[in-house]
Amino acid sequence: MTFFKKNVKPIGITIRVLIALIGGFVLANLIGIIISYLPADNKVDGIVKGMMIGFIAYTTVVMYVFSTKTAGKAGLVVGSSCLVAYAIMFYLNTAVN
Amino acid sequence: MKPRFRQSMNWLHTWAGFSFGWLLYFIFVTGTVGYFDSEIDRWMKPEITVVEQLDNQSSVLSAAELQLQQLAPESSQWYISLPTARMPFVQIQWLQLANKETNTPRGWQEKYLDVSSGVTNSVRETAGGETLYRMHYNLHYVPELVGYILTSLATMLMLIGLVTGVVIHKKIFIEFFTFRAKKGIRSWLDIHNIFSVLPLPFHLMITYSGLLLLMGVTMSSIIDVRYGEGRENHKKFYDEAQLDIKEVQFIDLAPEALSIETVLADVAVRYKDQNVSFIGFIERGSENEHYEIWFDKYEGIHLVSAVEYRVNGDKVEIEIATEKAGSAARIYDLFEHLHEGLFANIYLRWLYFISGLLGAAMVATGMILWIKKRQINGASARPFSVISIIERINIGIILGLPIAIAGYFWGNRLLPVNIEHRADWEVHCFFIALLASICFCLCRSVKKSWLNLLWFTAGVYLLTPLVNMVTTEHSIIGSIKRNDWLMLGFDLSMLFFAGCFALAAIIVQRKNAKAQANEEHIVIQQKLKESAY
Repeated sequence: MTFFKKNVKPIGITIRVLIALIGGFVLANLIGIIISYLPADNKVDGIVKGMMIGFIAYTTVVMYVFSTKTAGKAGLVVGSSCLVAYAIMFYLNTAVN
Repeated sequence: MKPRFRQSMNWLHTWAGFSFGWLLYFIFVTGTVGYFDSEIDRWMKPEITVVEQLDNQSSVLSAAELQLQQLAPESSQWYISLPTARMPFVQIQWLQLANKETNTPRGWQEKYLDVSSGVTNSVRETAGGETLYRMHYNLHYVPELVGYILTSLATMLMLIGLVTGVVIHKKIFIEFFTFRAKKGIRSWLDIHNIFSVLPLPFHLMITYSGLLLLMGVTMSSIIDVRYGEGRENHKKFYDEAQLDIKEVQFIDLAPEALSIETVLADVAVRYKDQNVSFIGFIERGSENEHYEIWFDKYEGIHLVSAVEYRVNGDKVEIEIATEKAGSAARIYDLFEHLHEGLFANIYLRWLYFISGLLGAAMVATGMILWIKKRQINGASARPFSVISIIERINIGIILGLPIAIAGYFWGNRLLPVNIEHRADWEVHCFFIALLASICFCLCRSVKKSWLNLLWFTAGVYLLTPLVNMVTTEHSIIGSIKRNDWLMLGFDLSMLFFAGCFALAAIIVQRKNAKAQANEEHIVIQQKLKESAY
């Protein structure tokens, strides 16, 4: 326990970095996929749009992760957003196919 | 993370910038140099005979065609480039098919035509301007995919750095005009702000478009979900993504008369104001055999496309691409062309170059600021502390990169012409010079490293035109006489950069002398105080 108490700050930062880099990437991709299903000029155009907005989503997620009070809250929000986004993606995917 | 949002963003800005700072600096410098890739290419191939305009186009064309017939009769794709402002020479290119017997891989081959004799010139093997600019996204030594991912990650952090950088400034407009000189760390912060805010639109554009250019790799999961995984499915996506809206017209030309010359003659009438830069003979021998015409100035910000001539039934049709089919694809195209700057004329090209250098300077000052702040906190009291090692490596990279580029140019002139893998060795020269600079800084004191390397860089750039003069028949005066403006421009630019580095060295020298005088003054005062007691 003392190890965690001593290193609570670096551990918190490491967790945040992981949430931001990996969680942010997953969420950005999921958001991109959802956007690619929105009405567009054609299928390819929707995908291009999704990818382009994906990067903005990534930036926003990373900024959010580092602005929350605790790393746990950041993890919770990003994790649950990923789940919701995955569910929407899954629904859209089955609806389209 | 921190009590206030702005403080958290400040932390994120610092660490996002620092973590990939050196790679970002490398990307900025090599990418910026890439805006002059054609010009560098010309300098690195001194054997090319320069020609501003063709007086006898038809005979040059038939000579070029004859050479292609002899060199690449089997090839499916031929290109002949005609002289333009950035490429004042005649070049032939063809797609070499893979041949297992002679062990030649599939790839593009090129030769330069001597217009007066009609035969090809033998040009030295060189990595050229293209390899130098490609380094900024493939990182050369690492596998292509790793290079793409690393540069994308660095670019992502750069975008985060930019956005958080804007967020943390309370008075962005005032800071635009603020520079407090000789105030230590405050001055570094001010100069970092100026380098960031002044070309901020450029920084945002170049970073975001850089991400978009590699999105097919980094965001490939979206293609996976929508088109399916695997190379085949991805290819299907790319084929569809590249589709343009095309306009087709039938023209009054007999199909059997269709040739490079008749195509050029027709284009000359149809597009009087345009200057043809390339003509391609594509998919030769197949059903889809056609000619492609590329114009010099046709490449607008929103459109880069060719006019195609092909036989359709018993008529000849021309196909003109107008723009991409979807609106998102059109925005993507706009960003791509803004990033590459192919449409830019010489003045805009220099502006791109300066903006790119300001980007590199922003990263460099950011790194220096990071180090200085930690030194204030007393972290570098020991001579071999982590901060002091980072500081030395930092100097080695900031000044080592310009030295490495000069090393690349020197390698082109000084390596034996017949050496095997010559192009690779030029690149090795680049990285050896960079590594040597870092090693030098690790062994020297910080103050001396700055000064010595600045003088060394100035010297290397000053001598580059001289090396050119000694090893080839090109000199500054000779270039003026021959109207060889690219060669002249390159040599003069080298002298200009030498001047800039020398100026920086003089400033550092004066600052060091002043600091030393101050120190001596303090020591004398202390001694006087002691003697008074």
